[in-house]
Amino acid sequence: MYDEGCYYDTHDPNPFGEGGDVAGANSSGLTPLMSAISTGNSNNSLEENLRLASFSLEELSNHHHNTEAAAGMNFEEMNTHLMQDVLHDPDHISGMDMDQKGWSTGLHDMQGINSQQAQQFHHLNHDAAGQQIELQPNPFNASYAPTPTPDLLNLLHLPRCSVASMLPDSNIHLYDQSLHLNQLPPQQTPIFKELFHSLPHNYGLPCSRGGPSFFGGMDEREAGNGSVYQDGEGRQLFDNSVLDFSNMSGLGKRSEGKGTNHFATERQRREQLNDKYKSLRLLVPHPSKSDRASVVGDAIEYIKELLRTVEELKMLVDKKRYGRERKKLKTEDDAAGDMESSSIKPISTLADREQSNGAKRTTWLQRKSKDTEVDVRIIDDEVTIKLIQRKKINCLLSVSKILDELQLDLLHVSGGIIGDFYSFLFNSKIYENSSIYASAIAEKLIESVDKSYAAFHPGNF
Amino acid sequence: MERNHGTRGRRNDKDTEFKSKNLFVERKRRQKNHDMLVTLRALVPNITNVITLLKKATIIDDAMTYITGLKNRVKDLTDQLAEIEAIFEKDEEHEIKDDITHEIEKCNIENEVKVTQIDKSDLCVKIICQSKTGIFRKLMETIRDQGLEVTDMNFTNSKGVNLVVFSVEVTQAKMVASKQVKRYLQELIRSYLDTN
Repeated sequence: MYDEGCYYDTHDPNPFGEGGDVAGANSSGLTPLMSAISTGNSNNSLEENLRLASFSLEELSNHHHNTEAAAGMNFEEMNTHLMQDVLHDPDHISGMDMDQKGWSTGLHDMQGINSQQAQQFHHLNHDAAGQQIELQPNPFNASYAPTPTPDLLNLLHLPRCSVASMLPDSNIHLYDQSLHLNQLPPQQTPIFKELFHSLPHNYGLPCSRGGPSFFGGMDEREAGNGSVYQDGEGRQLFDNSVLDFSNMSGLGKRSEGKGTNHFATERQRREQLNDKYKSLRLLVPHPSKSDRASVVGDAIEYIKELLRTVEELKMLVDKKRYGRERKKLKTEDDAAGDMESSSIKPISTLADREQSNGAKRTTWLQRKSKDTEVDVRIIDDEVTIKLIQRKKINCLLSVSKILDELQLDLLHVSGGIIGDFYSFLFNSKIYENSSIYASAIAEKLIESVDKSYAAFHPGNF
Repeated sequence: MERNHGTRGRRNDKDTEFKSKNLFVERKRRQKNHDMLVTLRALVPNITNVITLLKKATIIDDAMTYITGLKNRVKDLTDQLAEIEAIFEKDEEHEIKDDITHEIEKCNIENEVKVTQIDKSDLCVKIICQSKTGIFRKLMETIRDQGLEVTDMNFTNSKGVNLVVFSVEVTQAKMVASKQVKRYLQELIRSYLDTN
């Protein structure tokens, strides 16, 4: 029944770079196949299905390099590649909805069919194993003639591949059915856990209940337990197979009976995620609300601010380092010249330098403390500071002190008491060779204002 | 939870209303969360693993490493800057300029202080004076020493001339006569500008 004439020369792998074309070929060949499958596959002979499905394996093997290490990597790239194709191009999936719900039902249909095919594949693989040209842990080493197959089928097989390739030390060839996943030494299990968690849950596969069931499902089929499989419904298959899978030592938590321990793993996963959100929150200077959206929002703003600060500091360092040297040269030239002109020239050389760099310094950041908010903007050498203070103290004094310390020339001040707040705007100019930067200004301001507040109202702290 | 994306509303086809009135709000919230995460992902250049690129956990992990990386970079640069500052500091001291003062001397503006009483405890002060570094601070100190609190402040510096108009409120119980304040301020200005 299997046409053995279609051996494919596995030693002629196409470089992965041609994946794009192949995908294109896939898509063109895909549609008729897909429609065939989705419109009631039971009418087709198993043989036809087999051949059709087998072509995909062939196609996939095109994408694999010969190195063991690379195989896993490339396969994973292929995973994403194919998955993207499948997900993003609704034309491929004629007759299937692209939203999650439709996706799952479509897959259900597919799986009933594909399981059969998979089953057959394995038998064939067994037979062909001896005859095949050995290509490293590549489960699709079957020698079939090339033709694209439904990418969904490949999707189903994907986890098997990643399992094999991610266990560098194991001798598992996935088509070697005698070596079960069960027999892995316990040290391997952390990797499995990782795999589970990294499974694309959001593809709405029926095993959205959790990774283990999915693996278990594959496992079952691989074991060739015909009885289990012939439960018919793909879902039930998964349910039963979870039992086997949970026998793996150390994987998840044990539970009685059917062993669907998804609560525990899911809870663990949720807790880990929450912890991550918390630690992200800790990194940000002043986190306000502690809900997820705000944490992420604060992180985004903080990253942008850090990028601006880095730019600013880089520019300052450059300016400092090289501006001085140029200036010294200049003043030496003008030694005989007028006092005024020599004081003006350095300004222009520095300005030229900045402009030849293509940028004037621009920074902006905000800092908040319990009662004070400071907004510092620097354009070139002018600083604009906005200050809002919740309790009424004479912050003008402390601010003016700081500004003097930092050598900022006050150009303009305005503001006053508005309701419960003091609100002020300061415009000042940076002294020419000062290398003050925005965050220093902001931090000093906040520090001193808070200090003077504490001094004034010691009781309220 | 989020898996039941569309089911909550569609369970009973007969009812056209959604079972949960909160559904829209929830959906919007989830959408917002998702959008935030995608923005964060777009902002963070380091990628640990392409397969798990869009996982919440990966996004957050990558963001954390990126932020710590940036923070370290900022710290390095600040240290560098401080170093350079230290080296060149001696050269800088005599550089403090007052280009602007040259222009004042041509203008011949007289220093002026005016104080008016607005309310029983509010004064309005107007000062015109020459600009000098640190004069604002001195002004504020005097105000504080007098037991006054600024309600409104306007300070402008134009070509070396300061125009300060501000209102103060008398916070402490004692009655402060406007003339007294005026005198103090005038004295302050004169002394400050003359000595420096």
